[in-house]
Amino acid sequence: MSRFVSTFILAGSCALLASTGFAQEGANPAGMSPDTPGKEAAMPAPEGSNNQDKLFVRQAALGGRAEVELSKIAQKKASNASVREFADRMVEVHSKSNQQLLRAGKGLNPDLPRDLDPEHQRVRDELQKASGQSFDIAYISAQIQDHQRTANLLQWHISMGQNEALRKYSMQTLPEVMAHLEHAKQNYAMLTQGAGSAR
Amino acid sequence: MNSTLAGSQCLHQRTGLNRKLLLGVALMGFTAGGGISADPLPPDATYRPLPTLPLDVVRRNDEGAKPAVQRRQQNLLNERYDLADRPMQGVKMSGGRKGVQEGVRVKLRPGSSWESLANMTPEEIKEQGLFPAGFMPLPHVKQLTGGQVFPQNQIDAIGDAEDRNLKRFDVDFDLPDHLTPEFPAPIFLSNRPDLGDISGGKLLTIRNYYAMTVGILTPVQIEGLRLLLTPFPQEEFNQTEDRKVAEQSLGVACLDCHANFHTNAAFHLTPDVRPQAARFRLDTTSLRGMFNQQIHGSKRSLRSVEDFTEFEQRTAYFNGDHVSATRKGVHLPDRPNQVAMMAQMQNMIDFPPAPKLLPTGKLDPTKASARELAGEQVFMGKGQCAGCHIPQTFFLDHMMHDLKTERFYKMGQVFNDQVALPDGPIKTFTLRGIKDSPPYLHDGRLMTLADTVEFFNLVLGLKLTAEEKDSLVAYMLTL
Repeated sequence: MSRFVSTFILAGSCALLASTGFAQEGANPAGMSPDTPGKEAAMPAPEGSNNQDKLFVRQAALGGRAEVELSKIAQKKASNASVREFADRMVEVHSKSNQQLLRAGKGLNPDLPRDLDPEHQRVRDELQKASGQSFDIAYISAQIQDHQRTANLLQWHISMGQNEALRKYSMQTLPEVMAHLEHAKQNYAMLTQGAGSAR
Repeated sequence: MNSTLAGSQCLHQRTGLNRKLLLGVALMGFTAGGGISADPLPPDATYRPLPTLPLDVVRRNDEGAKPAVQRRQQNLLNERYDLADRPMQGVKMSGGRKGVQEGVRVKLRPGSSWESLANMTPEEIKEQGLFPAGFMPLPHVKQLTGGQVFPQNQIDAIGDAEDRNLKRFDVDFDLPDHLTPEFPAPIFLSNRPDLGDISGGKLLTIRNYYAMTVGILTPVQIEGLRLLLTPFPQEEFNQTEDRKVAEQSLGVACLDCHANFHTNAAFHLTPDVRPQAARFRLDTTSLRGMFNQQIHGSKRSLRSVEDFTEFEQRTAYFNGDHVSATRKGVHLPDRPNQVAMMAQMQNMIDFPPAPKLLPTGKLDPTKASARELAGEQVFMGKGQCAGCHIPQTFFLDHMMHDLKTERFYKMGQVFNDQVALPDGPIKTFTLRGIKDSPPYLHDGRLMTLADTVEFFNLVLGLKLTAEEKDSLVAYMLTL
């Protein structure tokens, strides 16, 4: 168990960034729209944003909200202590992260539906029906998929986004999300005695 | 009997768990394959987007950003490495014109030493953030644009010989000249070992290849050579507005990177990974000893040099994107004729002579020094090098291996827009002629042979002594 706890602590600590001011050097003109704001034509302003930034805020906000809501169910229903701990950590970290995202993406007005997206609604329904170890496995399975998706979303945004504050958010968040994914995979292996579990 | 009984009990105990597992798996399938699912990533996570701006605007933007791009990369290199020019005494690369750099160049994190790191577990090194940054993946000079970047010596030589421009307007080559291979590299032929280096110190180009090779090569080989020297459109060097060279370009040739069939340390990004920030850097590999190499491409494990030669033309050289390549003017060499000739030419390229090696790949004890022989002992034994770099099969095992370096660092950290991710399995590269081809590892993250020794000492947990490390370097210089 202490191994999992230490992973939690690891996951929570922030990644060191090698440099700052990346947007101007990093932004790929191939992904830049003609109406990109900036002082000169096509010189992107760090505070400017492109379509990818807008799409990112929407997708990340949707994913983050589902993360918190599903993990709150797990806080109540998970039977395995390690899974409950994981859910506690997800609620705490992702609640904070969602606020940071909305601050960084301020003004991009993500058009968010009121409820979860249909896919996560269905996951929620399944989780509400499940119990015992099958609940734990179902919750962790969904967590693995969601963290895979979020890691890819962040890597895509680091590749294609322009807004400096948002890219910084993505770079700081990615190591945490990848640590969560590792931890979720460890939990899955433990629950199922599957690949990578201790024997 | 007993084992059957144990097996059936085990099966029985697992049934309950399996039912639960099935539920979980069913849910996974349901959420992943359902009709309505969360939006997938947009196409530009995989496909190269079409440019939306005129070339002159892109160029102005790129040129404006270039000083900061170069400065940022230099800062990263200086943080990670000692880039000083310190050649070894009495050692030259095979052409005899360039020194081999000595010493460990990867910088330690404050508060650590090579000895202290060797006595820590990967988990401890990871938790304390002590893995030297120079052991982590090396970013492209401009990761988000990527593409081929040529060293200045190649740009100058091709400019002079062919009046073809290999200089990009958005980036320059990032490593100092003394940390790259001898240029132009000597050429040794497996069909004419009697001749030695046939390059005469010159770079093979489309303008001089015939006079340099007629009477030495067969007609088939000369035709293959012509094709390997003929430029074809490439992602950054082509005739469309989606390019990084000022004028419309005929493109690049195979031997623009594999200069004289060796490497000039030109680099690129792997074709095999997306999104862009996750692609690892590719250091050009030498073509020497191609005749003995069974797998090709650091990740793809293509099974013949014919496959590799044909396919890289298909994707405008190493971008894994046939869609973009098609738009820029794809070259589809005819498999039974052109591809075969290109392959047959490549298979004639030998390693430089290694006079201290016996036909078995072992050191000749009558010629090797005590230190070199001690290095061979470490190589075969405690160092575990020969597990993959098998001397008798030209220091290859024709396999891909995963060193799992991510055990030592937190995944997902971003350096100069590159996400540090596990490399996964990478093919074994030969060590014959290894002193001729810095920088080392598939992405060129290690500058010297001494760096490679420290890297494997840590990654494989070898606990080599200082003497053993020195003897390993001495041994590798004989290969």
